[in-house]
Amino acid sequence: MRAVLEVHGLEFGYYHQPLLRDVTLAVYRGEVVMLTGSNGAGKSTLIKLALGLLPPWRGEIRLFGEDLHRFRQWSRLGYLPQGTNNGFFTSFPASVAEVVGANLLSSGWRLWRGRAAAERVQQALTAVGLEALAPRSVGSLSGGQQRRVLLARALVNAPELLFLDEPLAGVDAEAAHRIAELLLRLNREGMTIVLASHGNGTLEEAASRIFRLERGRLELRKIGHGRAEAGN
Amino acid sequence: MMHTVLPRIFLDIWQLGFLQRAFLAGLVVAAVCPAVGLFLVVRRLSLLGDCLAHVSLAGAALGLAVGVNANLGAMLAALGAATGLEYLRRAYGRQADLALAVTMAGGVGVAAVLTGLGRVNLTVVMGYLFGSLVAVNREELLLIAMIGGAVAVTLFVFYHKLFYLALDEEGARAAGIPAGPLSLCYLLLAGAAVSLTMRLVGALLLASLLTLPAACALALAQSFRQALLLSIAFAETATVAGLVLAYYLGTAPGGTIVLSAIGLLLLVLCFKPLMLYYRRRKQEGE
Repeated sequence: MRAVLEVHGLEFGYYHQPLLRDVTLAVYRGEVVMLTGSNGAGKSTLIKLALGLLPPWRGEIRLFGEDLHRFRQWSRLGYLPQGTNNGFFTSFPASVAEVVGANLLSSGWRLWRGRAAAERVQQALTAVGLEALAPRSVGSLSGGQQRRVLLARALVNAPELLFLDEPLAGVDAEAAHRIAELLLRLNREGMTIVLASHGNGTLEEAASRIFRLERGRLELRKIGHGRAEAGN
Repeated sequence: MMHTVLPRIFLDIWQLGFLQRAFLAGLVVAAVCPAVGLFLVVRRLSLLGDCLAHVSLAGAALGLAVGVNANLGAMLAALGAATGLEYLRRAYGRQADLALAVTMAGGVGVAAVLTGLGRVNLTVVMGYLFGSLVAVNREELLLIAMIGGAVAVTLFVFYHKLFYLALDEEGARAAGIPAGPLSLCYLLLAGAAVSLTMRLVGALLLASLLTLPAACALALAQSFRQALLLSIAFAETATVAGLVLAYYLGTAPGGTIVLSAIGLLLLVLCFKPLMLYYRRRKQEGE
C-alpha cells in the first residue's frame, strides 16, 4: 500500500543551526500519527516542511506518491496552524464564513460563490459547533473559538490528509472533547491525520503510532490501537 | 436656494468638457483605489501608497526631463518601485518598513535633483504634487479608464486568492496559492492605482484616498466583502461631494475630496457606537 505522506532523509534547520536530522517517516491511509516532543523540538517545522511551507536542506517529501515540488492537489490536504495566545485574527475584517470559505479555492473565481459553497462552509462550522456564528466578525471571537474556525477551514474541503498543529491548544474542555470526537469520527470515515501535540488523552489513545522528536531525530515511541491499515 | 444651485452644476457638467472629464476620472479612481487600498491596509502596508507616490513623482519628473509622457513616466516608476519593494520586503523580513523608507527617500531625492537641474517645468511638477483633476484631458481620461479597468478585472479574477493571502499567508500557501507572484501582484496593483490617483489628488494627498475610505469601511464592516463595498461607496461619495464643493467654493478639487473623506470618517466614528449598540442588542436577541 502506498503511503499518503513519505518523508525520507529530511534535514532542516534555522540560521545554519540544524533542527531535524535524517528524519524518515511514512504515513499510511487511515492512520492517526502523533508527533510529540518538547517546545522547539521541530514538530511544527516537520509539518510545515511536509506542506512545502519551508524548503528542506536535504531529503525528499512525497504526498500521495507525488514529489512535493510537482504536487498540485492541495484540496486533498487540510492544515490547522499553531495558534497564538491572543487569537489568530485580532483585527482582520472578515466574517467567520469568509475565513472558512477561504479554503474553497477550487469553487471558482467569482466574487459570489453560490449556494453549494455556502452549504459546505455551514457543514464545516456545524462540525466544530460554531454554525450560529457564521456571519459574525472573526475578530470578535475568543482565541479558542478562532481555533475552531481554523479547524472548520481545514475541514471544508473534506481533505484526505489532515495536518493539525496543536489542535486543542487554548480550547475549553467541552470543545476539546467535541473536537477530539469529531477527529476520531473523521478518521473512522477514512481521513488520515498527522498531528503535533504535547499529548491529549483521547487523541493519544486513538493514535496508530506516536513519535517523539528529540535532538533532531524522530523516534517511534508507541504503536497504538488506532485504525492503521498499514504501518512501517 | 437648492433648486437654483443644483441645476447650475448639472448644466455646467452637461456643457463643459473639463467638468465631465473631472467627474468621470474621479468616479473611476474612486471605484478602484479604495479596493486596492483595503488590501494594503489589512496587510499593514498603508504607507506603501505614500512611498509609491513619491517614486511616481520622480518618474513624472524624469519623464518631463527626457521629454516623454510624464504620466507614463509616473506609472513605470510606480510599477518598477513596486517590483523592487517586493524584493526588499523579502530581504529585510521583519524590518520590511525599512524598504518603504529607503524607496521613498530615493523617490524624493530623484525628483528634487531633476527639478533642481532646471529641466523640468515647475508648474507641471506642482500639478503632480497637488493634483489637477480639472486639467485631465481626453487621452489622460482614456489612460485612467484603461488602467482602472485592468486593476478592477485583476482584483475580480484573483479576489479569493488575494483575500486568503491577506488573511493568512501561511494558510494560503498551504492551500497551494503561489504567495510570491500574488504578493507582487498586490504591489503592482498598488503601483497602477497610485499612478491613477496621482492626477486626481496629487502625490502629497494620494495615500489618503487609498486609506481613508478603507478606514471608514473598517469601522463599520463585519466581513471583508462588506468592507470592500463600503470603502468603494465612501470613496465615490467623498469624490462627488469633494468635486461639487470645490465647484461652488472655488477650492482645489484634490484637497476638497480628501477633506470630504475625512468628514465622512468623522461621521462614521460618531455613528459607530450607536451601530455597535444595536448590533450587540441584535446578537443578544439571537
